[in-house]
Amino acid sequence: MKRIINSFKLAFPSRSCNEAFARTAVSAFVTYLDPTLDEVSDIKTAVSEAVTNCIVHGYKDTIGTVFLRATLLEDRTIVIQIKDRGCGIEDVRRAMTPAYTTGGEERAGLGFSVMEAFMDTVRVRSKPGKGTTVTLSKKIGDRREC
Amino acid sequence: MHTITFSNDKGTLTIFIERDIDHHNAADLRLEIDRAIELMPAREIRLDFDSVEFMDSSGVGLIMGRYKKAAEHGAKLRIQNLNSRCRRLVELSGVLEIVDIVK
Repeated sequence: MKRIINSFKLAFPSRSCNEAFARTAVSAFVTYLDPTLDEVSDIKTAVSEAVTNCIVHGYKDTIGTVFLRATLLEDRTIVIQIKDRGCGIEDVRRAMTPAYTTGGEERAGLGFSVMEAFMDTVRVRSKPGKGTTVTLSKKIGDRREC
Repeated sequence: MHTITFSNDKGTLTIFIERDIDHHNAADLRLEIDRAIELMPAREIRLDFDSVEFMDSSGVGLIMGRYKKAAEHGAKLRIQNLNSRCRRLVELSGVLEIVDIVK
């Protein structure tokens, strides 16, 4: 079990204006590890995708609470859990297929593909009617060794 | 707050996107860009990303939608001035199969 060096939690209503708030909060939090611009951008993009999923899909046609928890581990990994108590996903594998979307409105269907491309690991747990939890992790390079 | 500016020169309409693109901003951007496309007939439409610091996959949806909108008006869509992060996302998305990057 890796030691936790820092953590924070957020809970906010599923309003789209909070997409920027959530990704900015996580990017400020990870600054402690002195990440590169690219690493910060990867994390912001993945968080933006996951939070957007809660808003567009989890709480479609309603406003619920989005829960975000971020943890820094001693091996320089950031773990981010993004959770909703919304409608859940019937078929997680299908939802993760590139370009598959139920979003309409010009959604590209790339949310999970982007998370997978930009993070080291992406785990999705979902129960129809109960909600969805996405856990993202990424190890931040240690440039002091260079 | 303005979200786009544009220039129209010799049949090329360039639309400068002036804010980050996420799901929240995409709806307004879509309306404003489409209005510009409808008001200013052009053979080529260029979306300029020079002021876009951040975009997620909503930006890819925005590009795909504007490609269709441009085609409806007989125009070709191109994109330009993406920073390295936006460019990486666009490359990953496969949207470059239908839209060229000019610079």
